[in-house]
Amino acid sequence: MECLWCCNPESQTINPKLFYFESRCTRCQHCVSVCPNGAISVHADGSIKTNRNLCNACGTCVEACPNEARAISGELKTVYEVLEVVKKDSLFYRNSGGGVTASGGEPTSQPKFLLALFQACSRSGFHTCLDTCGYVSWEVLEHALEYTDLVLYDIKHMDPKRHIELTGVDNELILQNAGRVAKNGIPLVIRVPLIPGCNDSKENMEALAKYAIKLGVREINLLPYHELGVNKYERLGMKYDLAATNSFQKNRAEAIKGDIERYNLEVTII
Amino acid sequence: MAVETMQEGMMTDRIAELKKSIIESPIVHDVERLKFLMEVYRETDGESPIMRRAKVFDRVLSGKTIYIDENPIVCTVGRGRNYVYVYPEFSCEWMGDKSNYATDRLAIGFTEEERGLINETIDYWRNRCQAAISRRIYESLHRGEADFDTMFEAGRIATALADFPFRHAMADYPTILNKGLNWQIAVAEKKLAKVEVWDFGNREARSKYDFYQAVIMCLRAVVKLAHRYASLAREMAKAEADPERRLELLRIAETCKWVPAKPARNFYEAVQSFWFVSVASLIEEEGCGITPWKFSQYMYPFYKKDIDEGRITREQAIVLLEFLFLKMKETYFMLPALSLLANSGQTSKYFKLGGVTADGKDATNEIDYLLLETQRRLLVPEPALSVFYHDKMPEDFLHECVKLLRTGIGQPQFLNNDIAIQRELHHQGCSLEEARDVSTIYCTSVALPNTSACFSGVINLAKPIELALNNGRDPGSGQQIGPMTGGAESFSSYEEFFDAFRKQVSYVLLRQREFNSIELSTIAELLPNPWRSAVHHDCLERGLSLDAGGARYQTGGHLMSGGTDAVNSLAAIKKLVFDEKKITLKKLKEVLDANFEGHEDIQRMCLKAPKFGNNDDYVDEIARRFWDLVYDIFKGSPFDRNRKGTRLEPYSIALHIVFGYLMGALPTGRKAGIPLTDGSVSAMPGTDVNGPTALANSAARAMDAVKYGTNHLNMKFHPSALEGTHGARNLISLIKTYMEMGGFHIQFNCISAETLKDAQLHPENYRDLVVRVAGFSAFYVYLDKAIQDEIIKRTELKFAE
Repeated sequence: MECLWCCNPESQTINPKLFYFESRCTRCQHCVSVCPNGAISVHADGSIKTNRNLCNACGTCVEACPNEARAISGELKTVYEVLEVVKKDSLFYRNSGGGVTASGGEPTSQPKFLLALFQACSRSGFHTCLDTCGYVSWEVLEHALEYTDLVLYDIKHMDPKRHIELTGVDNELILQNAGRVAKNGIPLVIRVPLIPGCNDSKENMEALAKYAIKLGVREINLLPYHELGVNKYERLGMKYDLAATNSFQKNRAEAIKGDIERYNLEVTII
Repeated sequence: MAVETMQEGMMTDRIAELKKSIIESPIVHDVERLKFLMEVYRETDGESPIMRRAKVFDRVLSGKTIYIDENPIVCTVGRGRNYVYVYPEFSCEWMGDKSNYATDRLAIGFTEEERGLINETIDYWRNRCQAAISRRIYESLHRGEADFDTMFEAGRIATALADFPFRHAMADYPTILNKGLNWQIAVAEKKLAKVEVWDFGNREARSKYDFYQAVIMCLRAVVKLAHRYASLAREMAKAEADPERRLELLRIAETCKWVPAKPARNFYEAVQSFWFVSVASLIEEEGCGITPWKFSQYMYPFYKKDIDEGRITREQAIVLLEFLFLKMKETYFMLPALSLLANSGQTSKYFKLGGVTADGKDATNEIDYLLLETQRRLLVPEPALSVFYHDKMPEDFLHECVKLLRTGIGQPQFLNNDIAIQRELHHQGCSLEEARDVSTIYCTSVALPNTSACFSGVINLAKPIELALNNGRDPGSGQQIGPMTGGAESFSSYEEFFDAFRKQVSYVLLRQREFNSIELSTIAELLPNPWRSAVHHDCLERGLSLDAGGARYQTGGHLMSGGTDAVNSLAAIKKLVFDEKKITLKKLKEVLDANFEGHEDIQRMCLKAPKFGNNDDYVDEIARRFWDLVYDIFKGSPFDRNRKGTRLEPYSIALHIVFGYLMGALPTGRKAGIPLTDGSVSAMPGTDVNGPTALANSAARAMDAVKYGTNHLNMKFHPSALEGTHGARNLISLIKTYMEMGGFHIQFNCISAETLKDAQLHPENYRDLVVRVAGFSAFYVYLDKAIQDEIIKRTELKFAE
């Protein structure tokens, strides 16, 4: 799934990515000479370009850059390594009722890792929370749920056609899985990103509320669209298709919250 | 109109105007004291030091110009709003240099006559003041060393007490409020009558005689001063046309006639009595740490009685506390420019909130809530609030604390009550009941109430890094100011370098302690403080002044700055030079000598080396080893028998700015002249990139906070991180967890960097903007630009969802 508004585009595929902060770059060309893959070149106008097909995010250019204009996002870690980090904060979890949230990107896109991590957390007594878009085979989800204490479940649009337009995929599987998760009995919160003009219509919100009630869900989180992710596209050399969209207005979000609350649902704006 | 009948709406305007006037009035050197000081010292040549001090005190209190303003609580140090006394007995040369007064907070415009008096005073004290005497003794002991000024300018030695006459004591307010100074006078007279004059050959008998004479003179002087205010109020009432104001003045007259001589009969009298005693202590001797101690605990019975008997409402009590806070705000220091920078002019008056009673129960009471609300309405940097956190505190009280934090004032700060208790048991060997009474003595430091405490000097922990890299030579001056431990090229392993560093720390620490010990003994000998002794817990019974063994417990605090800089330097050297061999130590030293100029790549490499505050074991283990080492060196060094409870207090006030200004580049990537890191367990500005829990983890593990006298962690939050009950719970959970992990002190700035930057450009719009600096809050626009920049830089943290 590739939502138009994604604010973490670096997580749409699994491998670490190279970030390029053009405003910090002085075009000193240190990076060009050190790149082992020949992925970096100088254009006629002096600007620095990175061929993303050649770049494997090895980080050599990051080390060489004197201006911190290049950085690697993402790290490959084993379950054991992640657990070591988690353990250091265990007292915070004990006192705050917090725990580990697998988020993304989409955590179920790494099913083996997710399962192993949640198993390990569960064994150590850590609370686990799965933040998923639901676009995943039920088998994978079912397995993970065995070790999950809370599910945050994204529903982007209730209308299948519109869903395809916005995310590239149908919502049938997503809704089907939502029903199954609800039946499973694990606490479930439905999350909706509010994208102006995409999914914030009254009809869609009503349909969503009714659907939530049908599933027996009590809690809805609204995530109003923000522009913090826009720069990331530039840094990754990606195109942003929602470029002209402004952040979601606060009072609009409050109004939608009020509409859904009429259905006797608990609504939080995140 | 008496305070008890004041209406909220009316008072809001009056308080706002008074606050505005105090904030906007310049701070003025009040030379009136110098006149009395010089008179008395000329008249009393040959008398015992303690009698001379008592006579100065008496002369000032009897002769000083007094006034009554819109504040129903009366008595100030100087003769006008924001007037400050100066104490040339401690150090005096600086007073003659106009540039020393030249900060925008101080208004200097002396008349010819005043200028003459200042010069005359300097001439008299030049060779007699504590600073001159101590320096002479130190220099005579260390003739082979570089001269004193060189060491000072290199940041190796700090003339702490010369400029900071900071002796701290908590007056026995519970006794004074409930029995009155007349009771104390009677006790002293009885004791004096028992002194056996035939035994004067015995020095102790003679000194007791002097002590009680001096103490009685001081106690009477304060009663007399209160009576002078009573007379002034009565006269003003006669001339007053407004009947309500007339009633108010008569009420002031009645109150000052009664307290502090006699037991306070209600909350208002208790507050006024408390204030007379506090101001008198500040008049006797400039200094911070004249702390209200467990104010809420000893004031509560007065409040409760007034409430029960319908004499006061909660609202009226808050109004009165607002007036008290404004009174406390009106006291300042006047110090040489560099010391003023180091101290930021704050006088460290901390209320203890929360804590436990002698039998271990939660001590939080209604006054604690009132103090929080008072500060939330008034928002002044001083006085400040210190919460002694423990798990038995009421949940709603902690949420009230967060409400105050949301204002961005940086208060309250939180101290770990359990660690504070363990610390007193460890250092003083007192009883558990006594230890539970532990309180803030100044900034982030704590002490038992029946303690004579003092500030014992500052140790610059970053300097030994420079010295270890340069074979004991100061790179700035080129002079040998530390032991020769080998040139940078001579170390073949990290352990060898660490050993050289250890030797330098040991040397710097011992020399600094020697110097401060000389200072302390000089002050104790020449400048005893009879008034503070008179109102302290055990002195009256023992017949000895505070410094001469009158207090049951003694302590001292060696402030420490540059710890995080030393840790990060060690980490950079270990990683880059010895683990990864990216650079030789010799080359690194050369690059530091060049202040990284032309070596920006190496500076970047240094900045990228592991930094403390990120929950990174590599550097956190270096930190723990470092702090354990410093403690062991301290414990292993010769002991000051008169200050057995003396401890290392790793927090820096604003000394990190001063030392940073005096020092060259460091392996952390920091260039010459830039401030060192602020708190002792804070991260170097801008280098804690893993969020608040990571910083808290590193900070809690850095040192054994029971053995150390304090420590200091700054965190800055955007206000949005504390929104709603959810945000408050997150913060309270963070505090609780930090304490449980062994953290001692944590404070929060809750303002946006944008606000702070705008305030730099438009200070006129932000006169009342208060920020947390280092163990205290201050008006932001009055701070030095370097400090402002640093506050902006302290990484903005926000809780992740």
